[in-house]
Amino acid sequence: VTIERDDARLAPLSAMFRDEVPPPLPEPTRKRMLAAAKLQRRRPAAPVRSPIAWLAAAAVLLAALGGTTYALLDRAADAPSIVSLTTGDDIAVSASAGSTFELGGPDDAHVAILEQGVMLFDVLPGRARPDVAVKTPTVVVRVTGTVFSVAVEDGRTRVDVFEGSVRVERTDGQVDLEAGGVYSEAAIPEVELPEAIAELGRRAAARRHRAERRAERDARDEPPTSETAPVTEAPATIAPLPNETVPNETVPNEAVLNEAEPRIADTAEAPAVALEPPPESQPDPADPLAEGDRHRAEGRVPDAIAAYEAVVRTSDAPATVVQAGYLAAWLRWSRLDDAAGAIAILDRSRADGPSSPLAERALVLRVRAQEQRGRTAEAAQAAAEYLARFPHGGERAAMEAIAR
Amino acid sequence: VVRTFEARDQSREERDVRESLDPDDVLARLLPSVHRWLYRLLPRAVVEDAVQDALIELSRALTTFRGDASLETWARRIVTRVAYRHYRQRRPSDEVYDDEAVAGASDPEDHALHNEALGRFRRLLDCLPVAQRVAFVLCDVEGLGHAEAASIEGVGLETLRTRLSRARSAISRAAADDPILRPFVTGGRS
Repeated sequence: VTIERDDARLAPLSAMFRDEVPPPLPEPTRKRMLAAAKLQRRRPAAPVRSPIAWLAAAAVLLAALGGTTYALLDRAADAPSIVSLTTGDDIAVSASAGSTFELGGPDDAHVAILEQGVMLFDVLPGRARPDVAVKTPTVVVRVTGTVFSVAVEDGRTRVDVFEGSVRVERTDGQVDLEAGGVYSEAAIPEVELPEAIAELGRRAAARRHRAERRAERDARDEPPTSETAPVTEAPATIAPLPNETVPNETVPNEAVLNEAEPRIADTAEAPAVALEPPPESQPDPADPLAEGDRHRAEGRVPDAIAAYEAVVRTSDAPATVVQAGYLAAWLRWSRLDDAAGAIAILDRSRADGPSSPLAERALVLRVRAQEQRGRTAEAAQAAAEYLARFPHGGERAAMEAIAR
Repeated sequence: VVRTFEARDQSREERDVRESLDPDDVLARLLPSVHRWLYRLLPRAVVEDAVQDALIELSRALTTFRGDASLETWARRIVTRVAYRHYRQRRPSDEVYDDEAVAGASDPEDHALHNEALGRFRRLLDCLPVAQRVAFVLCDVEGLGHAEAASIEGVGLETLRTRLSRARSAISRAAADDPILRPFVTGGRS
């Protein structure tokens, strides 16, 4: 009897919930999800052996020894030995046993020159220098944010793209490869891609997909409606970090932020004594940016800005301050059209300072913000600074135009 | 001998079913349903991740689909399993107070109340133990029979009914205590 009564009582609520149509998935998201599912459908790979100790030690040395040629000895034909390296440029490199390659130094145009063997590259979007490339005896593979492998055997090259896209340049032209694409110098790929490398690539692509989905959710955050802070699209040339933050009373438009999100929910009582209350949102002491990230993920841009800027004010860790400052500035500029506020928080956090790992992007943000304010002289000055500090930077052409 | 032939016939049928399914086509057709199911089963913040995981699991499992249940029932089982996993892995930051419902307050009164009620109802569901939520969504929202819901969850009929009863009772009490939801459960609105 109780079941029927509750059933009947809840019928209107159930019907209302049933009639709620979820927001449609954006077409690019839908395509990417299906592509990822297709990619993961392939057969599971042989287990990847853990790199042994001397290979791990080589990995540590590798970042500091750019320009050195490496030859990984093939220990056993049936052992898919793989060494994984992090170059320090947000590029993770894995190479199979038997590979001979040269990693470029910080001033080289190529991240790697592969003479023989198989290498997998996992390049974070927007993190690597834009001019990095992988060179083989026959082609040059231009790198953006992507996961791909390059295999060379007897002078022939094969390229597999697991995520993103690459451009393969030959002497007689170029080929653009999308995720799932394979470049080969024969009609049938005759250079074999070891399954262990392929599995690593698929895993890296899956990680990337998850990160992109989080970023997409963030990008769909609706900025607060305000006459003084109109919504603008973020310029495509500056990508947000996976995390983000914002300013306090010293930054302009605070009033806009305070009045941006009226909440009628505050006037209502909390429901459900019988139900467990949702966990209180406590800042994660291990990740000072977590609170800002959470607000941003939930679409509360002003709260995210406030949280990030609180980190800038209170944190003693320079790297954290820089990251929080950049995120706060980026949110102010891209979501609130608040160029002045963005510059103020860049100044405060020194996100584009000499020691900042985000200096390149923060400088570009400063240039754009100054342009938006109509401060052409300041924009040109910042652009000139960019060119001096990042002569091979990805925004070089745009900065040169502004610096003139 | 008869059993052997029957087994061979069954195997051939299963193979025919599998071969008649183009995985890409099946996934594309299932995607809207998977999205809708998970939207109801999970907090909004984790829905997209769960949809991707469900697609991957469905994609891998298609090779084992034998056709002895409908494609939808088979997919629901996998999606429900994914939902359980995501529910257990969720973080406090995944708890979402429905901001869209709040934003709707500037609309005309009915619309705003409807949105607000939806947001609150979703939050109630987010607070339920996952097993109760799944039972409630499958039976009272999706309209499945108890036997089919129990089959999808992989539990006995009595277990399913117990979970459903507890879910209804908890939601009913909580809704009666909520000033926005109360009219919906006391006949004031429908």
